[in-house]
Amino acid sequence: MLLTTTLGLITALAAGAQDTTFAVSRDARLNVANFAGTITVGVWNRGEVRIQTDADQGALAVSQTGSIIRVKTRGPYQHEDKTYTLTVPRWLPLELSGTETDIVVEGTDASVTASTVEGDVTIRGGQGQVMASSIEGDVSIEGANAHITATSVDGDIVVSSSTGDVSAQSVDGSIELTGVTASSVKASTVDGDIYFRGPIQANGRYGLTTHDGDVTLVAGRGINANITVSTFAGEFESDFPVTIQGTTQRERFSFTLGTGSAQITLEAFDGTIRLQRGQ
Amino acid sequence: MDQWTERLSEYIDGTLEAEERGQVEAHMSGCEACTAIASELRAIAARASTLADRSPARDLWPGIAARIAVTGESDILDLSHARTRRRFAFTVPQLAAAAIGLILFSAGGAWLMQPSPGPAPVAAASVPSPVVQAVTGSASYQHYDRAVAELSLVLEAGRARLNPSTVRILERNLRVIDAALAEAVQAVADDPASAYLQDHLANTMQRKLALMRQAADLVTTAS
Repeated sequence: MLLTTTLGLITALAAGAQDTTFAVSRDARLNVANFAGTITVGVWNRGEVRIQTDADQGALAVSQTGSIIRVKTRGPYQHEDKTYTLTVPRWLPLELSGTETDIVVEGTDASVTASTVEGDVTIRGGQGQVMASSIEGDVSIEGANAHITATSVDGDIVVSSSTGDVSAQSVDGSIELTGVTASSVKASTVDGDIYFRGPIQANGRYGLTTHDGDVTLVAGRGINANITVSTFAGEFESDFPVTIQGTTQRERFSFTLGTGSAQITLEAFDGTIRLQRGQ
Repeated sequence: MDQWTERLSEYIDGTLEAEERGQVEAHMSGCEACTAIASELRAIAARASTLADRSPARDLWPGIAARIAVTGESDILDLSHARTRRRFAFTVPQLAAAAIGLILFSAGGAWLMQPSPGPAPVAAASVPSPVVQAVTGSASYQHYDRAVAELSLVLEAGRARLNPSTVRILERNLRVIDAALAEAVQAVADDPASAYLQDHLANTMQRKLALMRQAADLVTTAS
């Protein structure tokens, strides 16, 4: 079935008709809501969206308001476990949400907003803005070139091989930022470790904060940064020569490596702070 | 929770501008949830007005809220003589995660007072230190405490709308934050002059508010 979307179009597909493809305009955004189950999004080079769902799962509703195309299940089936598999243009911005839902996006070149309550969020790719959140689940973002916001309450966060400023926050979970090129990084958790490995940009700002956990920053030999270390009941270990500057407090001190152009803040209320030398 | 829900407290307090007040009232005329919350907030405010004020020894909150930068040059410690892997350790004060947290965060714990497995709470037997009294007695802290209480009310009212497992997760993580808060408060009590500890306490309190707001959003979305 091929549908050409127009303003105000509402398409209701009866149960059993669970595979549909329709064209989308270049200014469109896709909004998909699935209460429970999975949302999996892949990309292709066609200007069309294909939606596949499990059979016998109720009526799939596709509607368009302005440039926003909404996909959801309507009627008595909307809270049942469903699988949405979508193939979309790689340039199509995505807004994906669920409650008891795992969300996976593969290979997009567009902005992505993905949120769930109980489930994992995995995004590979993404440009412009990538926002991923879960209450109870892990969040993973790989290969993004975007401003990245990743949050989880009770889960781990991994951002890897990505370029763009990063804001990552958890409560009971670790945060791992590997191969991240960013001029602004904010990562904080309450109960968990934080790990960052990536180039330290001139004039960049990096803040890694945990209450109960270790903080590790792996930097290259040519690091130029002013580094402030704070801990109450933890320790500090450094592969770099450290000369403390300023007024040394019981729980906080600063030192400079190289020209000191970047600002790095490392805080672990009760944990070990490690400044390690990378390649 | 919509954009107006978080403004209801200001609406009840009468601190909104006339235009915003009109917007809130227009919104409430079509929103039963916000109307109900506003009614509950009025009841809370009425009850709160009957409570006796506590006189803070001094308002520590500005110090906690402010970002304090380290300045000056002193106490140079040269570690460059050390070998490849250099390391030094701070003294490690033993944290007494005392009952202070339970005293401090009683309001925020309201949502957590539902029957749940686990050890009984530690009795709040110890008398709060002057520093803790100063923090809790400050007007700003009481504003925070009230915000937590209001959010607790919203959450309790909407508890049944959430998946029980989600409620358990949220409660468990609030307990994680409360434990961190208790330690942070104790640390500030041990070293009231520490800019880091004041920052850390303020940030942890903000974290708790943020999580409670997030939970309230879930309640609203689920309704």
